[in-house]
Amino acid sequence: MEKFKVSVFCEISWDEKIAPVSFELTAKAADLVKDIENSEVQVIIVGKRKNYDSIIDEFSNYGADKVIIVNDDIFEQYSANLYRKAISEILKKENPDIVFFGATIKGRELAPLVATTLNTGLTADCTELEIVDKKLEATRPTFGGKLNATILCKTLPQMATVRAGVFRLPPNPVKKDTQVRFDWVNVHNEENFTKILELIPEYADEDNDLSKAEIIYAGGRGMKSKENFNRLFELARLTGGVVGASRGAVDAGFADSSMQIGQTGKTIHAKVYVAFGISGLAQHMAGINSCDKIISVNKDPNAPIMKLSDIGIVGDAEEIIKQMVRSLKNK
Amino acid sequence: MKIIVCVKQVPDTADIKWTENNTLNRDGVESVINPCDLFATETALRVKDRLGAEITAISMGPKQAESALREVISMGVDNAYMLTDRFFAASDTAATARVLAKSIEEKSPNFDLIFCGQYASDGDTAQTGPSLAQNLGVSLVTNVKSIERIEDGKIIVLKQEEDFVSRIEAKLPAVVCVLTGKYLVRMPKILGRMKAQDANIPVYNAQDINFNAIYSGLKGSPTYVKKAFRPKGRDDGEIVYDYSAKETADLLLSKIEEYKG
Ligand SMILES: Cc1cc2nc3c(=O)[nH]c(=O)nc-3n(C[C@H](O)[C@H](O)[C@H](O)COP(=O)(O)OP(=O)(O)OC[C@H]3O[C@@H](n4cnc5c(N)ncnc54)[C@H](O)[C@@H]3O)c2cc1C
Ligand SMILES: Nc1ncnc2c1ncn2[C@@H]1O[C@H](COP(=O)(O)O)[C@@H](O)[C@H]1O
Repeated sequence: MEKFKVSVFCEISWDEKIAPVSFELTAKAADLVKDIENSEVQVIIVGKRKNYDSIIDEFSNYGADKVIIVNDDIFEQYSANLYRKAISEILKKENPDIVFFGATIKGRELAPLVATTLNTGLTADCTELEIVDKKLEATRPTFGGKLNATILCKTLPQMATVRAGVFRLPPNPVKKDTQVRFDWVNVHNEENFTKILELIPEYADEDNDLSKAEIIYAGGRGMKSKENFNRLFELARLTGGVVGASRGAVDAGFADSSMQIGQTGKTIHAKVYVAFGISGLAQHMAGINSCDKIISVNKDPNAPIMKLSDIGIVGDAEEIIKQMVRSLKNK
Repeated sequence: MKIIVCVKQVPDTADIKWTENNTLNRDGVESVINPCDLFATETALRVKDRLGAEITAISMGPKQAESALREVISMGVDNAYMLTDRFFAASDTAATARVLAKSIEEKSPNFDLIFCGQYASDGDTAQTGPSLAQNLGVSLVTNVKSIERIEDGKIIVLKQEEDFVSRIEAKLPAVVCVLTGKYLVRMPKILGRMKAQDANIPVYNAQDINFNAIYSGLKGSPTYVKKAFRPKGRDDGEIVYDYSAKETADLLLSKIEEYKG
């Protein structure tokens, strides 16, 4: 019987760290194949490093059966075309049934290039994955979160991308005895279509990391002013949360675009999401669907977010926030 | 300079409603140009303003999507064509990219730049642009915020990365996938509207572009939708009215405490 293989692309970011989504996908893949006989979860690494030991170790922790490394000086700088070539060649050799990429900026660029090279299908931004009769059933939101579609792929490999944080790392992962193989792909005759001239840092707020936060307070256009919006930071500080924004708030200039939550912003996975003055249009809701609990405060009882919340509170956001801060300080 | 812009007509997703019996009601839902594609068009027009260019807009879809092409012509796009064939219907992004690529090879092969939107608001896959670049065998840059310059057969762009911005140089010809931005998309002028009204927009089917239709549509697409369903809502949620700010604040704080576990 042929091996049932799931490949996961390991994304190494600019600061040489492994993108957490690569571990999340490895753990998810290990979980998906756990009842399939003769299966293998393999991680594909493309890069230029002296040493891969610690990386391999981490992937072992999350259930990788095999790590395949394509190491070459040429990969020092990311080039979509060279990475595409390397990954595609390994996949042609390995013939996996399923391939996962993180739906990061790099992953969303590479995955369709690889899928097109291999003449196969790709499902973007999946929020649920299942294997039924050895077929990947990938579910994703469409129409700005109004509709969920379960998509299958007729060709092999069946490819999918998944956003960071959609699948959480298991608390007690099963460590595997991981095989390691160094491989080589000739990419030296490929055209290097693109060149990175410069990396320009942007203001990144480490204390306000939406991706990992458990409590998120978000404000929308209904916050009325930047000054009101800024009270959310105090609320967050007092309760250990972080602050996000709707596009309405970003467009109104209350918040920085890095704080935007939604289809074109961040996807979040908080335990509690509290929305102040946000109407709850589909593009916003697309980013918060996987939060455990949603509380909303809106002066309009008919705002769409009311029906999509666990608790919808009809009231004035400004007043309620002020009062919350007061109550916390008096505790 | 020859530029192609890929324009998709999408339903205005904010208008789509669920009916009582769990079907999507698209009645009266307006069709609009995909927001990113307006920015892709604007980007192309700015290149034309600076360097001079002939811009061709293309769209694959039902015949009525022609109105999207007329709209971009009114903004200043020079010409356009539709790709319409019943065999194209229900194409996934892989099949769509094949059709777009083949039409470009047949009808406008000597392009320098292709501008796509980064993603379409209905599907939001962001796959068509990259797949198109791979089919044509040309450079690709995605997540593009702005164009800095075009010189010596290269385009230099700013790309939004995860936590920063990168400056990327790509060799022409290239596919450039454009984000929505904080700059303005121009409004059509009267003259543009008149030009758009009179514009001849050819409609090509599979045969016209020498495309073997078995590689498109439902049959030719590698992926298919097995089922579509309503995302589970929070139907058991409650709505709280008429509490004082103090009562509400205390309720909120206790619920947050309870929910965070
Ligand atoms: C392609 C595309 C992508 C998009 N991506 C995103 C995205 O990633 N994220 C995103 O958020 N949006 C996105 N949007 C925009 C989205 O459709 C909405 O326009 C946006 O989310 C609205 O923001 P808002 O709720 O803050 O503003 P509004 O819709 O204006 O809502 C303001 C709300 O505040 C309430 N309010 C007013 N005053 C008060 C008060 N004193 N107290 C309490 N409540 C009050 C009002 O009743 C109203 O419900 C996208 C749109 C498109 C077309
Ligand atoms: N049917 C189509 N006709 C023309 N361009 C398209 C079509 N589908 C997608 N595109 C282009 O590809 C981009 C990304 O779309 P998508 O991959 O669907 O998210 C869009 O912004 C368009 O520029």
